[in-house]
Amino acid sequence: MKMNKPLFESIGSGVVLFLRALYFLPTLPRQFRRFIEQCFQIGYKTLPLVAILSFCIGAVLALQIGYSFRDWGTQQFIGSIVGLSMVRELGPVMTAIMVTGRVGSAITAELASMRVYQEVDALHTMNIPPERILVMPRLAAIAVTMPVLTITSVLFGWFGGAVVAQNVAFISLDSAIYFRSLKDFVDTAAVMDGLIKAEVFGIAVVLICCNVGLRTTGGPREIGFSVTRAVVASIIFILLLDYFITRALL
Amino acid sequence: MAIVSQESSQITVHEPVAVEVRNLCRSYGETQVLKDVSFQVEPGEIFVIMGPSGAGKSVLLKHIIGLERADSGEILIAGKDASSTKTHRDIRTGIVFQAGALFNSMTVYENLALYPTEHRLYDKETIRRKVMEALAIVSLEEAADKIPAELSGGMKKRVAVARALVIEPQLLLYDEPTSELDPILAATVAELIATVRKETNLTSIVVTHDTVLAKTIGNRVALLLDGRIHTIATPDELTRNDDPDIQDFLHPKIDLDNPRFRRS
Ligand SMILES: Nc1ncnc2c1ncn2[C@@H]1O[C@H](COP(=O)(O)OP(=O)(O)O)[C@@H](O)[C@H]1O
Ligand SMILES: [Mg+2]
Repeated sequence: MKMNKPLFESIGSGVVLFLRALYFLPTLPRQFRRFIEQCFQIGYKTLPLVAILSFCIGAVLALQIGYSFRDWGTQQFIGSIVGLSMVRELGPVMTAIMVTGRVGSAITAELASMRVYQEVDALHTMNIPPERILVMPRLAAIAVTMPVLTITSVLFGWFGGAVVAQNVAFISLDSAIYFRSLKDFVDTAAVMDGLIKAEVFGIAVVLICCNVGLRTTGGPREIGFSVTRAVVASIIFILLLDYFITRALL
Repeated sequence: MAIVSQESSQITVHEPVAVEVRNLCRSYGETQVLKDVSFQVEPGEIFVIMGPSGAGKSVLLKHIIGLERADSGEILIAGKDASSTKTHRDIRTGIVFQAGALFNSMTVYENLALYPTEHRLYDKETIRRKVMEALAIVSLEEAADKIPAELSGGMKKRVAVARALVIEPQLLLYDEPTSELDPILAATVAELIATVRKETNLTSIVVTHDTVLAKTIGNRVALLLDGRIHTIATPDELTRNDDPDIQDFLHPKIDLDNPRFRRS
């Protein structure tokens, strides 16, 4: 029980941070420049990474399925399987994990260093809540960019699968058939479920990373510790949330 | 150093405030850092707090500015509790941190403009004028578009002072404003503190272990030794006082035959 105290404290402070950031949401128009800058940092700069990785995942997935079922005459289902797994599972989860590595770690490092070098104290003495100018614009930015990143991930994953299915000799599945079988299984509900998941993951990751960063105390060494802690916590949280959201949405 | 004349000054004058510290105690874990500290600062006064490193000077300032909560005792700014955020919203208070605490991801201009912009005090053009005026006071107009990493230590210190001035505070705390500065810059900052106080009539509390600074600008000097207020006196009284602790702190004798670190 004793060991869990920091865990409960972190979760508690995370919830408080979220509520305080929500409270400052109406001031978003005044933070518009920060919001756009964060959209650029979070969204635009992560897009190529998400696209390339998702393409590879889709491709490998098609390869594995095609190989496993090569003698069964069920190759046309590759489209459905790749399509559904990208939309419901791999797209949201892989995007969230890449956001953690590419964006979350940077957020924690920046906020932790602002804490350590007393910039956050300076904000407090100026009566400017850090939640308003540091946390809220980042949460708003991830809320807007996460669906875009996820859709990109899903599309590139599908495309990767199609390229492999068509060009690998032991699969040789025509793209038209691949996409037709994909369309038969992927419906609006599946897409919505995936996007909801991604949105929850994205907000959770940014919240965890902001919270860990703002709770950093000590010196430069603690900045590094905080980044590690934030990334590990985010990934564990993504995988746990994934199970429970999936259960809830099924 | 260009000090802008009072007529053209953009820095608005507010009423100065009194500060009263009553029986303040604060411990971190086992170690008690502040031990029953009490003193009063008159409105408009420059009150200097001197003391060796680790005496608890920065901790004391953090309590006055409301960043830390005392274990017991209280601090009143114009009669209001300094530990409540509301007090610092009603009364403009500012602090120049020991390490500057500039926002590293913003330019010098943005550092200064943040407070009036976030609190929507003035329109854009007025903010611009006030920021440039504050930069002019510390002779740093040309550094407006630089980021803190491009500045020297002395420039950072002056930007930190300018950022506090833009807040137009009624109470301004300085944490070792002249440490790490060469003698000329230290003199400049001392003149700056005195000029700011004269032109804006604010209350200043200056933490330092610079004896020259304390004697030249301080109306009264408090000596904080090991978390306790040892003496409060005018600079003259302090110089004349023959208490061995005071004289040792003001004029430490370097004794090569009997070094301090070997004394029991
Ligand atoms: N956040 C903190 N946690 C633990 N100890 C602290 C903290 N802040 C200051 N201290 C301790 O308080 C004492 C006084 O520190 P400080 O006020 O910074 O000294 P100075 O008079 O040089 O400014 C030091 O011994 C320091 O170790
Ligand atoms: Mg100090």
